[in-house]
Amino acid sequence: MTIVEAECLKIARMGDQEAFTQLVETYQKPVYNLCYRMLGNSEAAEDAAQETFWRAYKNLDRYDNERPFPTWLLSIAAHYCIDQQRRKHLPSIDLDEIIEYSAEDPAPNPESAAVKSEFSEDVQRQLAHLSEGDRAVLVLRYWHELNEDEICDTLKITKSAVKSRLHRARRHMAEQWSDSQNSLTMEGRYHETLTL
Amino acid sequence: MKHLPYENWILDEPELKLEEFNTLAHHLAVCNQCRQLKTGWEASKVLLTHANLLAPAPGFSVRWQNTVIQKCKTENVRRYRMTLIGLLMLTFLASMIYVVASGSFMQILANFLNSIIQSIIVVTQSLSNLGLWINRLPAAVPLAAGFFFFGLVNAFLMSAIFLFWNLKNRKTLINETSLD
Repeated sequence: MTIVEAECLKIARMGDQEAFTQLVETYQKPVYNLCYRMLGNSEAAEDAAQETFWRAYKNLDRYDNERPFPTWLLSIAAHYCIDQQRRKHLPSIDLDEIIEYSAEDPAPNPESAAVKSEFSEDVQRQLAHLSEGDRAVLVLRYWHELNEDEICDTLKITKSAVKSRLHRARRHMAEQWSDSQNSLTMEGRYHETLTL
Repeated sequence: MKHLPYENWILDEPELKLEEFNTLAHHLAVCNQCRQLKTGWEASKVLLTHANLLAPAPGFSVRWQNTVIQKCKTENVRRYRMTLIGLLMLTFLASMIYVVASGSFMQILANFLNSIIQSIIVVTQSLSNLGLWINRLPAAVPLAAGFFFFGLVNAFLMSAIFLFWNLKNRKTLINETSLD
């Protein structure tokens, strides 16, 4: 957190809405990304991100200065998304939107943008098959680069729970990748047979 | 074949000693399942680390400001309602306490029970008088009246069922037409 952000936070805690809007401007991307990776839909992610900032704004007086502000925000977002997912029980993926929003590099080279979009699409498809808890741990670990202790703090779970969720999520991802490769090979063989 | 601790070494990514690293390499050379797991996880990790951080649609903070205004209004209305409900509850509670403490509560309760008992007595007496009056009539009259009322109730029920069935049919027809 920079000195300017810390100052904004200080002023926002006194009730200044403009200062909080500055913080929203700064942290919108990580919060939105977490919501999107958790919910798999841009509309739901936008709503969840807005709700996260609203909850943070409302509870600013409860914020502990010792804790990093981004981790606190991510914690609110993760809990909100987990709740939403539990209510819905069905993860929804809008692949067109994934492609639309994934190439948002300021000056993207078309080739790298296409590759990144493909990565984003594949990864979102794999994430959709994980449980809410496992997905949250994986997103925080690999997109937000939090270590195990920070994930414990963010999700309010024990370190052993973080470890077991990470283990389970990684296994699931690996197995899914293997399955997709196997089906691709089968498909290739089928096409070869057809051409022969 | 035992896959532990190799699966943990692959998935948990601990810092392996040289000896452990060699053991894992030997195991991977002979175990297809663990080899697949390692390849799968490494490929997935590449996907995870290369997929970019997504940003919201432009104008997020402007939408946030609108959200705050909207939410503040809703919050104020909610607070106002809560205060009103709280005040009403307090008033009700205070009146109850007053009624019970002043002793008038028992009086009200006694009057209420008394009025219920009185009404039951009146209804019973009226029914008994009606029975006596019916008994004085020739047997054919109450029998005919009974048949008449039975027929009336049946006719009413039949027409209600017909009306309901007709309405239901009309609704289905409207739905089908709108679908076409």
